[in-house]
Amino acid sequence: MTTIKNGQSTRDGRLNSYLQGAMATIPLIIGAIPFGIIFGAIAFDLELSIYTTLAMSVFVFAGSAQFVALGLIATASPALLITGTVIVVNLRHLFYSATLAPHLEKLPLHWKAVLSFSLTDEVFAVMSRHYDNQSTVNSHWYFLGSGSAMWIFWNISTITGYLSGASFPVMYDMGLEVAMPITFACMVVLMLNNTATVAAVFVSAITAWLGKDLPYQTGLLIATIAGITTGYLISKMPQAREKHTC
Amino acid sequence: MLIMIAGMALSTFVIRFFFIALAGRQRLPEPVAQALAFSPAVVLSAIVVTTLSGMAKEATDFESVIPALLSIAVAIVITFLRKNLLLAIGAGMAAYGLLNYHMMG
Repeated sequence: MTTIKNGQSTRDGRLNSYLQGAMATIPLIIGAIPFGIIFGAIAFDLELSIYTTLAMSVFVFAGSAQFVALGLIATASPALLITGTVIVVNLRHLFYSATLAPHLEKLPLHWKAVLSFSLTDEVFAVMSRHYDNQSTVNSHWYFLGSGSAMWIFWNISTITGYLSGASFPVMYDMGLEVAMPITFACMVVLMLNNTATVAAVFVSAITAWLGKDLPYQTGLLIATIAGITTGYLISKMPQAREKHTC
Repeated sequence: MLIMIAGMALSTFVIRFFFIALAGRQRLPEPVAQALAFSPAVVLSAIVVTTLSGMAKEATDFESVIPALLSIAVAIVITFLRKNLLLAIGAGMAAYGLLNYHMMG
């Protein structure tokens, strides 16, 4: 890798990192595109204007929250309720923010703000792996590449879905939305490198299943807390510790 | 509508920015930081389960969710064997297409 030259960042290195970040995000973009299209199509169905629809993808940039908002718009809920619900649906992003924060410590505030804006589920998946394996002086460019690639394709797929609104049931019947769980499941497999993580994932999956009927994806939050607590406790068990130092 | 979108955008951003903005000034307690190391795998797997249960809820019978479950299994096995995300996702989607076609036909 040519991204580091005497610990200094070069222009080539930055561009390289940016492109690598974008490339690493392609599998997750594939998973997200069907959702963008379905989002656009449902918005069309609800007779939202194309500006409103696109403004959500451009400025909010949060798939599941956007879907929940559509559901509430359909039932003519007040703006305050919609915002409140979006906060609850997005609370898991607090974990993303806290997890990546130590790696972004030294960046100027405007970098922190731009990268935070792009911190979707997909970008978080890419970046947490990146910081685990191959952190460099140009990691923030990698992050920017990942985030901007995701953002561009999220908006393209939103427009595509909106414009093809009328023919959208075909796409829905094909069940293309399965691409997202497939992608995420594969990412999880790549992260299973110790017993504690396996246990954490197991508990999280079971809890998510048990909490699947809770409103506004609060089941996701409970599963997250149960999972990371399990992982932490198991990693603190004497046996797991020995394994780690070997 | 404008207020609603502004509210959604601002609240989403504040949540994502919260700990990153504090970084450098305030450190998380060590146990919390260690526990958060599990958050990527944990959150992603919870999203998978929640999405699948959503699909199952929409479906009228359990049978119609089988292709999704099997195709995820295919993708997981290939990721294990080859560590290649694109290949695994491609295989998973192909499996899904075939299974769906087979079950409808």
